[in-house]
Amino acid sequence: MDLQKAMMASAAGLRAQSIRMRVISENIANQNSIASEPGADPYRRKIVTFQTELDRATGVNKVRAGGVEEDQKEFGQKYDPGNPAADPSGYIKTSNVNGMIELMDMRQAQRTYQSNLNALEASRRMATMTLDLLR
Amino acid sequence: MDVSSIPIMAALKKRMQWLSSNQSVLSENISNADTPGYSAKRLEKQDFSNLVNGMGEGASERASATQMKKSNGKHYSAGGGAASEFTVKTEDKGEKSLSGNSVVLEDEMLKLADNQMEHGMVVNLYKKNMQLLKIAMGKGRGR
Repeated sequence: MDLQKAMMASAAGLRAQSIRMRVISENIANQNSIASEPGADPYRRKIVTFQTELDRATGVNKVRAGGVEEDQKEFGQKYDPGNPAADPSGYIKTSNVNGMIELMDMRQAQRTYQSNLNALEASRRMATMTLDLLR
Repeated sequence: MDVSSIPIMAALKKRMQWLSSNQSVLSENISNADTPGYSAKRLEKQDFSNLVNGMGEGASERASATQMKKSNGKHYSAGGGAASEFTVKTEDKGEKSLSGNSVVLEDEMLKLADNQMEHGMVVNLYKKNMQLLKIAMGKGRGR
């Protein structure tokens, strides 16, 4: 049934967005994580990738959160000579997470999640209406 | 008698099938709203013109032209059967985001609401037609 397919597509969207949300939360939580010793790398920002995947059993073009990749942007630097992770010149590497970008990303994820939820609700109502014909 | 042999019922049934297929296409678009390189898909619009044109004489012959003929009394009527597939097109006009995605979320939500409203209308029309039939049969007051 087509409405069921619609619901499956929406559910796949919800799932993908929640994975994205998880990764964004990880990024924000680790925004201030630095290395524990000199020379080591601090937290590297993670990015979720999305792919369209044809579910062969049902013929639905589902969205799928693909691999979680690392942002190759350079780390920041901060002068903090007293820090145990500081290099000989007194600098520590800071993570390459930008709070603003994460916040915007979170908003977008939220918006798409909401839309998927609305679509799911709409499909469910339509199915209920059709079934109500039997009454 | 099969309910679908009444032209209006057949048309409503067809429309309902189209609407649920459309719902699934729209849901796919919404769920892929953030997928890089995805283009929005649209279901080809239904054409009811031959139904309208055939309202005059010979309507029933024209309507039955696509149905299987019963050549034996033991045959079942082929009212059900597989739903005809509607064609899905990829929409190539409209702006694309930096990632090559052409889904406009607001547009999709609008179409979704439209689709839902029309589905409600078709379901109600179907219900009303059934009530008319029940009245004709003299069962209650169409309830």
